[in-house]
Amino acid sequence: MSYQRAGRGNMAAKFPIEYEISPKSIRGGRTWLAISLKNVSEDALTGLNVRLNSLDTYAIDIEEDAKYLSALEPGQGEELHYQVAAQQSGGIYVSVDGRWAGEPFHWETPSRRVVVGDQVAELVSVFALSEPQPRPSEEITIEATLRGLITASGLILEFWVETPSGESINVDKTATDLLNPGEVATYKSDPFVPEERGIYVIHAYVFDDTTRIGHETDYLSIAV
Amino acid sequence: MAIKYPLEYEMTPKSIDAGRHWVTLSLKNIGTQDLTGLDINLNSLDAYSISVLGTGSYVSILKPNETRELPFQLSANRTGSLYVTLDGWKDGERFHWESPGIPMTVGEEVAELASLFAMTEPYSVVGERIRCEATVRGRSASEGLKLEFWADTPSGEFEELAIVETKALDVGEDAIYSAEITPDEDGLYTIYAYLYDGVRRIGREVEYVYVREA
Repeated sequence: MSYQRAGRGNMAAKFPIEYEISPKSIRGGRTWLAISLKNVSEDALTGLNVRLNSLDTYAIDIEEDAKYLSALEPGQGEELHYQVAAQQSGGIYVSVDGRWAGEPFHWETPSRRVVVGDQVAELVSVFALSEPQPRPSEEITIEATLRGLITASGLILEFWVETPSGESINVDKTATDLLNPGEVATYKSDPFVPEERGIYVIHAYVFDDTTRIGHETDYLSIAV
Repeated sequence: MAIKYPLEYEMTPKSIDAGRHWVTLSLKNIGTQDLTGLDINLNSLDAYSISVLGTGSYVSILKPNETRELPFQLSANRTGSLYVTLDGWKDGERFHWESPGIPMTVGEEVAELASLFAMTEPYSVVGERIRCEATVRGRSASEGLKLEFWADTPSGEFEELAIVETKALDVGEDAIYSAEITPDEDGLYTIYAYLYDGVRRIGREVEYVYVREA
């Protein structure tokens, strides 16, 4: 069974709500984001706590992140506005807690990236290059992919590993080559050797001078 | 205290009840240079779970071997993760430091979503089936939780992969559940696992799979 429905126009859908977060890019500092919601079910949604949630409050902090809607009738749409303090690009998502046809329900969107300011590049992904469940003492390399947004050079890419016992290890640090707009570049770290069983957290950070403009994580489960 | 050079750091307590509570962040300069003009913030990695109240803290100087304890007020709703950032000056040069995520347990949930992994090589191929495994760990006797798997595709569709009712779990017991997806386009897939106790979403984990053309 699927609750997925195609969105109309620019609106995405996750039943019972069509939604849109706009704009998708904003300037740094204090500005506004709008959330459009439409009830696409046949029952009323009532007592709705509509939150805009940041997945990194250092990057994007939402000033008053909760709004109340007493009801959203079938077919009815509403637009809500949230003031944000934006420093860097980051992920946000919308959650709704309330009642649907009188029954309690929770609903949330997947995360959506909001681009903040004139960022020179973005960190697209970081992966630990390994089998799905590597064993201790096998060498692991980390791979990070960057995409240029405007011409950029001399960014700093750092690879860190957080061990199951909580130690943070700086695996590698490199200056990136010239990146043109839209160009993609992949960097591999020096290998590291996990010695402990458990979950390692892999971090890649991109810095433009001392400003951290990107951070992505991957997880690695080391089996016995 | 955990270490990420040039700082040792610790946040206490590690678990709190839901609602507004204070935590203490301890920072020690274990480097050899003064750290000055420090803008210190505690940041949430999911503000639905935990919000940090207030404006952060300012420390004018943290000398080598000096420790500071800073209070931060949290508004806590669910278990989540926080991290610390410092922006300031080190030996006359601007610097940025941040900790990895620091888990904060909120309340007494019956279970936690411990992990989500796509059981694949780092780069998967269009048309190749991928199994995603989520581990649910019991924190008190529980059964009948709902575990949902979803995929956010490169073209922006949000597809439900599976909804599973969990079996009875004892304290500390792990149970692994899986869902499968066969990607039909190249690009970045984001896999989500959500754990629900009734309508309370008590866990959310994310995994990324980069899919290439065959």
